[in-house]
Amino acid sequence: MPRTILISYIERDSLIHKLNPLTKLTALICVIILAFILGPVNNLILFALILPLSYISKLTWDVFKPIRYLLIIFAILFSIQGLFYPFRLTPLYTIPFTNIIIWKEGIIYAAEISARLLVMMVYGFLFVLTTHPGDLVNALRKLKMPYKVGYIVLSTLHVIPSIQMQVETIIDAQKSRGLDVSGNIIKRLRAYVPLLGPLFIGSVQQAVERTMALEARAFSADCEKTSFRQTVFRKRDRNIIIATVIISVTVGVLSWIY
Amino acid sequence: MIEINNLTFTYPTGTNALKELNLKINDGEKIGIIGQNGAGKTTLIKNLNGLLKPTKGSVIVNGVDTRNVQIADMSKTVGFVFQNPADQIFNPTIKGEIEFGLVQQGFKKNEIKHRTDSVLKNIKLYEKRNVHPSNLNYSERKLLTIASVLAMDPKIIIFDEPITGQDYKGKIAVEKIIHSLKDKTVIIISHDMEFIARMVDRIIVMCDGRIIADDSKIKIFQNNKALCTAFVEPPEALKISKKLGLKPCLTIEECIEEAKKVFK
Repeated sequence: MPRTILISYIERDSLIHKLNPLTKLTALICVIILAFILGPVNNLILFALILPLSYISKLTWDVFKPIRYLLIIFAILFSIQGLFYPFRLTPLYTIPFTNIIIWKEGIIYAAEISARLLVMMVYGFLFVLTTHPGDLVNALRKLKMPYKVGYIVLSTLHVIPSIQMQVETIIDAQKSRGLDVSGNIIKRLRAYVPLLGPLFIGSVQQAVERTMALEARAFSADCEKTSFRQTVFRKRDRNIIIATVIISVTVGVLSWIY
Repeated sequence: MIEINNLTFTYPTGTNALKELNLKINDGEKIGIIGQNGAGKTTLIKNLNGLLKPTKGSVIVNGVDTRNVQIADMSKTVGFVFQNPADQIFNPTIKGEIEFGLVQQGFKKNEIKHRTDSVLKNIKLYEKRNVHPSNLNYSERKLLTIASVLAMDPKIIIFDEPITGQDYKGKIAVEKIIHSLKDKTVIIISHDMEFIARMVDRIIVMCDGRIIADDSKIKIFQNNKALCTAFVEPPEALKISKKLGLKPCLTIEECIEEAKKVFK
């Protein structure tokens, strides 16, 4: 039983869950494009919109916990950009008793990237949690996507929670032999190095075994594939896609003009 | 000694894996934990070395509350042999794998060498000490993970499915090692009732996050109600001895001895 929330589909009876995967995928693509067009403040407004969506999708706060891992990336981003941004002009702060300067342009640049990452992470996460991988592949196949490409998408979505569980077991095994993963970030990163070996070997072994298991069950058979899961594209899906695209284009154009 | 008081454990997903368990394990006891998959066995043993902290209640190991200590410190008292050797082995040599835990615990060089050589000789891998662990077969890798825990000399050793996937030779080797741990507290999770019958004195039966029976092995294997609830079959030897009208026996060896006495 995993201790962390797995990054995989969570079944709920909600409007967002019932939408066609293509509707959600279109909305996700619009959000990602907007994240690149908008500035950090507008991206934070876009980020705030996840709150009503998470409420509608009946997902508790727990499912947003993995976002905390982004904080490590943010810390690295702000440190590197704040100190070494190549187009630095305005000093923001000088660390006392040193000549180390934190530059305003670097901090602004780091804020822009962080806001984009935050938006893409939460919306991508909402998409994964509310979309059954089988439905996604089924919907994509209706758009004439090759079966093998569909399987790659499906297996990627399956592999994430599987690796999460494997990482947890490996960490437990090493902690049980006295590996200390507490302390500052450098100490922690150093402690996690031993975990990469079993994780990498395990993942390769799993991939090889999965390939053989697939072939043993006629994966490459040259015939029309069927599916248990069926997806329906309703009128509301069409309306939501049209509304999302219109709103996104309007916001994008307004943001570009002003 | 391990004292578990009203232990409740709930995973972040909301699964209530352990429900108000109370248990006392004395020093030197050999305990088997049995039950279906999902009964809460692994969650229980992960609470014993602090990998999991109780949601409610407490786990006291040798007077130390697991909530108040780091797992790294608990590893000095409680050794844990994981089911899959691939999750544990990562060092480039067999010797390095044994040394890992000892280095983490800050032992001196001489002591590390002494302990490493000793356990490697014990599991008959001393000659291969500089070989990469991937060159070992599954049974040998399993022995290596057991040896790496034994080298740390903890007072309590937990084995999670120690003979799953093992060949006959591997099973015998694991049994021999567990039998040699006379002064240790040993806790074993297994679905192999013949193995449990040979290895432990006391059995805890778990079902749906609760302990439904806790007694000597002979009493547990005759407790049909508990076994049926936990979907566990008693050892074949017990069924044979009952059919033959002999005194209840848990191993084939006992059964043969008993039959010799009765049918002389």
